Amino acid sequence: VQNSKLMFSQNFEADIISTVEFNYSGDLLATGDKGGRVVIFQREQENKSRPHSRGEYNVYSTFQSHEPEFDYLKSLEIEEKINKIRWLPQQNAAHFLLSTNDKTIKLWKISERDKRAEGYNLKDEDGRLRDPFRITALRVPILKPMDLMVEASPRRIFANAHTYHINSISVNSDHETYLSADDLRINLWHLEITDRSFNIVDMKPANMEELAEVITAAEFHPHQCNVLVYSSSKGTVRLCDMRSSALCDRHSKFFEEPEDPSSRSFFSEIISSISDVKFSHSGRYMMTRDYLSVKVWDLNMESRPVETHQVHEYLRSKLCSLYENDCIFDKFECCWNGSDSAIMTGSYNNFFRMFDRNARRDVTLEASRENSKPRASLKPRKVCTGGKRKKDEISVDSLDFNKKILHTAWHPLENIIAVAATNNLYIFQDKVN
Amino acid sequence: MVGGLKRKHSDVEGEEEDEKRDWSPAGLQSYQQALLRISLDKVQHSLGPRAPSLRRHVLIHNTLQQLQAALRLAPAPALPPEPLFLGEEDFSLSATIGSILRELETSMDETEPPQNPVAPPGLQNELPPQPDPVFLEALSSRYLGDSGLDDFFLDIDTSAVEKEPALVPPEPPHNLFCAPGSWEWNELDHIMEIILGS
Repeated sequence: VQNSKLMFSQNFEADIISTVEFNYSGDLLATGDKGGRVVIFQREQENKSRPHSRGEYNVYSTFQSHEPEFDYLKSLEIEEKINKIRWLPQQNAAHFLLSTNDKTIKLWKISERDKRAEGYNLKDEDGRLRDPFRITALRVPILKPMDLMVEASPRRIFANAHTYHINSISVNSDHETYLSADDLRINLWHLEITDRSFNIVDMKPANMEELAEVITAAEFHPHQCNVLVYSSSKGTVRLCDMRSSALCDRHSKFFEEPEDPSSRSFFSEIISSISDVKFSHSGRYMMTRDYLSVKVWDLNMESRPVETHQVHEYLRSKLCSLYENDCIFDKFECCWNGSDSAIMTGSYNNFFRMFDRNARRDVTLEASRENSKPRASLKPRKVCTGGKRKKDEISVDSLDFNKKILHTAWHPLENIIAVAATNNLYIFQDKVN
Repeated sequence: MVGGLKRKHSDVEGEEEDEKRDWSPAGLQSYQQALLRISLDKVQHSLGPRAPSLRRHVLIHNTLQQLQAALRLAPAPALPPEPLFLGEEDFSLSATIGSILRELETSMDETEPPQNPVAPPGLQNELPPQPDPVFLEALSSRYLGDSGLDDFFLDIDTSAVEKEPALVPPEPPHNLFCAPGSWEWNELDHIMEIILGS
């Protein structure tokens, strides 16, 4: 990460982006937004006659995944915002993805159509029904080429299974099932069956007055189809093995780092709340994101993480203000690169952070149009935490807390990253010398 | 391998570097009261047309409990207690928070059987039915520290807490789905799939 130079590649403007996800090959990049739409980008084939295009992403398909709903019984709006998108592994020419809002998960099929049938017997070319008495001969419709059309159609709708807001979906390595998690429960679904799901985790207390902890994220292990993890608002991660019991109320492993008593404050619990948990591609590690740091855990060691990376420690002295303006509740995501040698997460002021685990170095970069000229290398940024501000540094008080990068994604194989900065999608690629 | 930093901290909660904070007992208490005020404000204003974030609510609730505990342990303040200082009224504060959570639960929960909201003692029989939005509005328009807590609980709606059918029938298809849902479309789609081999 440190030796390769990332350069600005592309920028797309949209509604406020709420999720970003590459598919398994990295050829497709899906974004979901606050308006319930999904936009899929496809990487161009590398073209020898245009060597500088280097596989740029272009819009491939756009569709409305979710609509706003109104629950009349409770007088509550159900937001159409897409919380998560997860791709299914590709099995044929079509692509499948799961998209979810707070309440309903949908399975979408995205397929290409480049032929159409002509010469129907019962209707005209413009679709009008032909008068049956005028049909005197039978013909076989023929297939003719047409301009490529990409269609998205909803294949399954998984509804009415979540009382609380869905925060995660995760496709199992068996490619047949997936989990959906809300604040208090995790359900297991079969991709073919929409009218029932199996509840595997339930954190709801008998008396809601005792509620003190909620589920914040959940994920299946990338290789072991019986293993899943879920994180909580108290900064803990529970690993469950579905083989040991049907209802995973008893965890197999419990990951929690003991609190540092010298840094205890009224905000300790809030900043320990885990906003994202991700397994490494290898399946040996997992990463958690809390408000100020990213931690890497070895699945065999529950007592403490093996690595802790500070994202923006300079905010620790600002927690009261960040509590007041609600920023302390922002949920940042994190991601691994394809080889698990680097991790990335977002911050404020349109900054995002990348950590090279092997070289033990990190860098702060900025996603903004002012600083992005085509194919220009990204310049590392630095936040001045005290004392005299050097040239090109930004002081903590100048940071724009409305410009937050909550969602980032890393191509599964190459050094290409997608960064969502509010309503702008940035794509950065490795510079080739 | 472990990248943790050893940090120096003063022995009180955090440092606000924008001003020299007064960490005397009175100063600390005023800081805690400020946090309490901010937290109560958040609880009030978190109710809107959309179901509130349960995570945010639980975190604020837990923070409030910590503040409560800290204020209870603190010596009597030198300054006259502010209207929001709920030293003696701690019980009603936690009961209020509890009832807010309960109300949120009944407003968000589809499958739970109806529960009688356990009002604080003395208020059990003073709950005339009113629609939910009125209660929510009452919450946002009143300060929880008011001595008008009795009036506050009068607005709680118990009639809205009704058992709902276990299976809500799915919404009729939107126009987005009408055509694809029809028999003809499925047949044609199936045929096209065979032809195109997709």
